[in-house]
Amino acid sequence: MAISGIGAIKAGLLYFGAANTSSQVLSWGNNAKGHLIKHADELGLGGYSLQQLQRMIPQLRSAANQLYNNVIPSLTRIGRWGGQSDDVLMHITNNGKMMVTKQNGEFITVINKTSNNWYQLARPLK
Amino acid sequence: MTEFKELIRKIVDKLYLVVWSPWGEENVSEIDISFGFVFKNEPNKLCIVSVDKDELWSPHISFESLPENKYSWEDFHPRIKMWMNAEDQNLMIGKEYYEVTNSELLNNIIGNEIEGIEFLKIEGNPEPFGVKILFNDDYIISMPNSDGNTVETKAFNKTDSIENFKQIGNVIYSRL
Repeated sequence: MAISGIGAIKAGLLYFGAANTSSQVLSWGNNAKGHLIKHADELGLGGYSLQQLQRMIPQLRSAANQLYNNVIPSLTRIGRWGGQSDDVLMHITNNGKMMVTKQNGEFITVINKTSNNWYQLARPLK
Repeated sequence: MTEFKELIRKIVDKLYLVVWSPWGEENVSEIDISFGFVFKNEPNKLCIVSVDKDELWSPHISFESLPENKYSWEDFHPRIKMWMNAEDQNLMIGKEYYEVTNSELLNNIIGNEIEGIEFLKIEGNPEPFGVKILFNDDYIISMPNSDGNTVETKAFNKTDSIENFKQIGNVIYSRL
């Protein structure tokens, strides 16, 4: 179920306002299920079959939120991203991954790199 | 990138679309879709042109054996629509292969030779973000989207995804 409207705004406020003192919560688009299953490895849930992963959406969401709460704020950049009409946020996590979200905190993807050409072209958020 | 040069002069014997189930995707341009080629004289090898999934910028080639399970071109649009509607929670999300060798939309690619390869770049940036595969009377453009790859040809999947890159800078086509 997507979090939209007030939920998405709240998620965005949590991100921008919470610093590191409270938990940040990702929001989820209608397409999140497929993206979470695709990135099970990056989310630390590799080794499960696709059949198992279909039933593990809450765990995948939890793992994504855990990553989101382990970003290094000073490394977050804002900029273009393939397929996105608005600028996105590229967060670098303290375990060497990049999580990409919309500015309202909606999950887009996570990759096993701490830099790529999108990141190089982006500008620091702070 | 030298692998791309090796595609030139190869003849496409069979063509596949390789798709990650687009569960709940709202836009066709956001579907993770790539072309898979079976070349003449290499009948047991599927050559997939996509994006490097580890960094979602650079074009990438991978090779697989032919899929044991595949759908047909006739299945393609109904299944994509079904996935995008995201209604049946029991559907198994994963990678799907569609053999599209008999598609009329792609008949200027099937049986034809790859005449050239161009890398798509942002002017001033040496790292190509996509690739254009040239045929006598058609082309395939393959480039990243939000969480994977998208493609277009002269008649298939005309989403104009390249416009997104034009917001970064001038897009140039660099011939191999």
